[in-house]
Parts: sequence; C-alpha cells; structure tokens
Amino acid sequence: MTDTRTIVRDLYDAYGTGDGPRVAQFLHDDIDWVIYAPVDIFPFAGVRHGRQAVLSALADLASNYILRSYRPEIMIVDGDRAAVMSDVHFVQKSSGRAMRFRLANFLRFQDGRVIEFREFIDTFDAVEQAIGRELSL
Amino acid sequence: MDTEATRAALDAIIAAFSAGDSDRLAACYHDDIDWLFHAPVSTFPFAGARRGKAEVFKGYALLYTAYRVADYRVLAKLVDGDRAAMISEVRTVQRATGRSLLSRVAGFHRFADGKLIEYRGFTDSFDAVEQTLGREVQL
Repeated sequence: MTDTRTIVRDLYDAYGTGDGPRVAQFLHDDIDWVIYAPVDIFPFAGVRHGRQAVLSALADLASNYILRSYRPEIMIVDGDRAAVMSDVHFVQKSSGRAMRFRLANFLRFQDGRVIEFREFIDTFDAVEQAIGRELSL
Repeated sequence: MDTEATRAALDAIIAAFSAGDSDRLAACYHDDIDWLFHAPVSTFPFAGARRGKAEVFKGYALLYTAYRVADYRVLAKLVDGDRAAMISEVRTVQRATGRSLLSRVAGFHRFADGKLIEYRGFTDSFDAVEQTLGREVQL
C-alpha cells in the first residue's frame, strides 16, 4: 500500500499542475469536505459531502479563478492524516485581478483516498482581494 | 527534534494553554520565535506577524485583555519530525460585551531545542470579525 506521504505529494502535484482527472482519483466516494469561508463571496466554499459534490465545487472554483501556482511550503504527515500549508496564486477571471494567499489544509485518508478535508484561510483578506477593495467595518 | 520529542513539546503547550498558565506557556516558547497569525490586526491587534517571545506575549496580553478563553479543544493533532499541526476549537467571551465567540483555528508549529520557534495560525477571519462586531460585515 502506498504511504500517506507519497499520496499527499502526488495529490498536490496533480492539483498544482491542473490535472483535474488525477485529482478526482484521490477523492473518496464518501468524502467529508469543508472550506471555512463565506459562501456568498466564494460559492465553492462551505460543506460538501461525497465525491461528486466536491468535484462540482472544484469545477465552480475553476470557472471563476485561474490557478497560477500552488506551492506547498509545509507538509506534515502523521499516520492516515496530513496537514499542508501552501502559497497559492490565483487570477480572478471576471476582473483579471491577481490573488495570493496562504492556505492550510488538513486531510485524512482511507484506502489511499481523501475521506476528510478541511481548509482554512485568512478569509477577511481573501474577501478583500476578491472584491478588490478594503472592507469598511 | 524527533517526532516523539516534538509531540511532548506540543502537548506541554496544549496543557499550559488549557490551564491558562502564561508562565508555563512562555517556558515552551523559544526566545527567537517567528510567529504569524493570519487575521486583520485592525480588529485583532494581537494578530499579524510577531518576532521574539516578548512580542508574542505582548500580543497574548492584548488577547486576554479583550477576551476570556471559556473552552479549548484539540480536534486534530499531527506530528512529523520537528513539525506539528493542529486544529483546535476555541470558545472565547468578549469581555466588553459578554458575547460568546466560537472559532476553529489551524496551527502549524516548528520546534527547536524543545521549544516552539515557528508558528503560523489560520482561522476563518471574516467570520471571526463578524462574531467580534456582533453583526454582518457589509460588502
């Protein structure tokens, strides 16, 4: 059986190179997925259950943003779990605006596939980048 | 540091934080710690980048002045060599309003000489700002 570290590296390589079909192969049918971010600004965020729902969210993301680079900076592997912090650069298709931030992902694997996924981001900063201005409080 | 030494160092931090024991917590931090919590400093003055133990604990003093930690739970803990990562759920009470806030925090830690020398923290900061203000942020 392939070890978790190898699977994580392969998964992030697939995502970073925009290889959607390869990414899909890493998703468990029963995946439990959460991106902690406001869904009114980022409709692909929030809770998703199941592989098809996650693929739909990823397709929604790809229809609005072009991935320029996805560079994992820290990769921590412990048994069937992994945590990855990445430096990520997207371009918003509607505005051409460049967005750059760091992402924190926590993953759990079962049968070589991701069964649990949690993503954290500085959403206040991400919203300001997405709308192209500072938020007024 | 090997994985087991890192696990022990992380557990010491969790125990000190859970007990609200600042002196014990400070003993777990390296003098040259490189610390960054990704959140707007305009709303959370303790956040942002801080260098050195004294600066980090000045930030914690700001945090504890404005909030009381009511509950702290570790939901996931990973250790790998000299690094560790955690998801925790923190319930705080805003002292000025009595409002209860609930946040999940993701942390990435690196240890040297048995002490925390690098930290990167993440939370859904937009949600945290709305909870702190007690209202929705107008877009």
